Amino acid sequence: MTIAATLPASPDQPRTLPGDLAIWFFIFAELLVFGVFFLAYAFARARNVELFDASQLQLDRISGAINTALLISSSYFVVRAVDRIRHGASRACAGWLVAAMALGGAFLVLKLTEFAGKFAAGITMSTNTFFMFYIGLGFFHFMHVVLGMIILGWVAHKAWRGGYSAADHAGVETGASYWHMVDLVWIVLFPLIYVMH
Amino acid sequence: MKYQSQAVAKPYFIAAIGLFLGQILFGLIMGLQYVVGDYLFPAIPFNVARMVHTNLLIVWLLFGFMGAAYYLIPEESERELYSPKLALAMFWIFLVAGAATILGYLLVPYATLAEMTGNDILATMGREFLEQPLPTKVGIVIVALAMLFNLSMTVLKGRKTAINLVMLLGLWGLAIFFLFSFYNPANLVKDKFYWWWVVHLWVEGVWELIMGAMLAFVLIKVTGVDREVIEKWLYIIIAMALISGLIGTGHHYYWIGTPEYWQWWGSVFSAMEPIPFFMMTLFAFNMVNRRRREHPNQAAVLWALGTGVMAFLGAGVWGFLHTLAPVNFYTHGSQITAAHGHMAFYGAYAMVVLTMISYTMPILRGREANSRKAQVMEMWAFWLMTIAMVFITLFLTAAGILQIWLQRIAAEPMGFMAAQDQVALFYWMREITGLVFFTGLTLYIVSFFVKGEEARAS
Amino acid sequence: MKLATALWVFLLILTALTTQAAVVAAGFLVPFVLVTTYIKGQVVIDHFMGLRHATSRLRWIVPAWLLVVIGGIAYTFTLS
Repeated sequence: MTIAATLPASPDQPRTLPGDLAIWFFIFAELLVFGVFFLAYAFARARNVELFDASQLQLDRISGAINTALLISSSYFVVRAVDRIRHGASRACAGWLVAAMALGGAFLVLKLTEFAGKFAAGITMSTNTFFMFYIGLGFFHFMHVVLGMIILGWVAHKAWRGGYSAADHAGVETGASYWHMVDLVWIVLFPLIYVMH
Repeated sequence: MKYQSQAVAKPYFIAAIGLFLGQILFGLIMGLQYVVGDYLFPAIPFNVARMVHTNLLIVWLLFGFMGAAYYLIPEESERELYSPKLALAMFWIFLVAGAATILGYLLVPYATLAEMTGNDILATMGREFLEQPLPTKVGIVIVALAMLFNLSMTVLKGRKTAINLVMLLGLWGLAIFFLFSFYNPANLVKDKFYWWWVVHLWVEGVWELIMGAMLAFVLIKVTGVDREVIEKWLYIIIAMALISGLIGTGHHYYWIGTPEYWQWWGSVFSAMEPIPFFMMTLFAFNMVNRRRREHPNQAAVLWALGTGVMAFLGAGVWGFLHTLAPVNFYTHGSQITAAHGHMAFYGAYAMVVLTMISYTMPILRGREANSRKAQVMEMWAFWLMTIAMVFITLFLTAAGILQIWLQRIAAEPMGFMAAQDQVALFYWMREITGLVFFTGLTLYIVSFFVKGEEARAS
Repeated sequence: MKLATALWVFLLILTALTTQAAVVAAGFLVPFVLVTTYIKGQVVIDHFMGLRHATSRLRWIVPAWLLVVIGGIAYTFTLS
């Protein structure tokens, strides 16, 4: 046993990765998949600029921007939730998490509306390479928002019942880390697919 | 062993090893037929030998998984098996059905077999790896459901751990995806599309859960590392395996008439499939390095480490070699596929079953570990089989590269059979290495009969 | 928490600017959006994910990912 391990933990003390190490390996793998797809999109676009630019005009940029704001805000709410549980405020922590989930839910509704519009216009993954990426990546990210909300819901439920404390709240940080990853990916996805041309 | 009912695993493991021997014999016959085309013709034509070779592989692995489940689930759940009698009855049903099927392949022409077994009622036969007659397929479903009922009841009433839940999830997945073998649409594209739901989602999906659970179980036993640490690894590995493996099915959808986007999705996701296998390698070595005890069964430890390495090489690296659509455009259905198939099946699934057998068989026979003498022989068998498999893979890879060059890239491409003639040397070398593998397997079987003083923990 | 709140507002402003930039001339658009995206990503990584204060040997992975992805995208825009 080292001496450091016996010292009381203070908030200023340097920490290892927030939350469980296991979730970080998962996050790294997820980022790898998204990263490969982003670069695949970028290179595919460079080979077919006209098609991508023309197709991009059919997207609802405002809807994408609102979704970005929703995810960034929900990420911020999760930061507040983690801050609350560090002070031992279980109920407040759960409250912020539920608020974050509500924004996540709004994201899903908006995204579904967007997809419904495209499908109604007869656009599918087979329409062209641009829409293959738009629908494919969008759907893949959509599933991550769903999974993130499930994780947040589970954490919020446990927090509400007093399952975490100021000293022991790795579970909250684990869920928070995953949610921030979902946000981070969208922060790159939005300008890449909706904006840059 | 801790629970009496775990003993039902023993006949399953014995049957598995027996069928494994049969698989290798037919592999040798077929390997020779690659270069001596009329060897044993017309008694055992090539297509029959191939069918027997692959079907025996699947059946012995299933025996191995079932045996492993009947051993592992009671121990993890900390209670006796719900019904040992049912497990034993299923063993005999499965063995008789399996033997009858193989005899059917060997004794009557396949078309006659199809007529005899009611293929006209529901046509399911004639597709690679799913050649089994309808009654056999129904039998597999019954055996699997009875096993799942038996195991689920055991887990429901007992302790729930990551290992027994992952194992159970894997086995349920195995049974559910097998149901697609009954779906045989007339449209050839659809047929192939769903055929992969059995074949791919077994070996690159749910079987990985079974494998992860078995490996984790043995590692806990032989290293004494905290269950919490091992379970955490297990969860990440299976999450990665499922994410990459499920959508990775797309790497079979490049050229069969499915939409073009599968070339992107299949490429990217299947390129991630080595990650969980690499994590399994890290997992095995990490746990053994952190071990808290020296388990007397060193052969089992060797098998566990070997599984980690060979699964990564065979399934991960050799799979990645030809998984990207632009590469697969050239390599599709060549000897590269055969190379990958051999090392992946041996490295991942054959070896994990042998790991489980190596750990449990001494216990089932009333001792913690075999004698030093028997273990040394088992380790020799390990090295002979494993090294032989590495060389079989390398020779087939060389044959594959040459084949692709001659047949698909060269300025004046050769016909299939002309190209096959050119790579015959590699086939001969593969056949000789196959004999080394067979020697290793013989040694492995003999090691069960070696007596001597029981090895003790140091 | 004041810092987090300020950064939240900052991120929202950058998002609005990114969206608005889409209608301006293309020559300016791409570098501007890439830079704002990189800053947004780095803020989330440092302050929301909290990797700035992490001591783990693995903490460089996410920032490196962002750099590679943004850098790679930037490169492809020089191709056309």
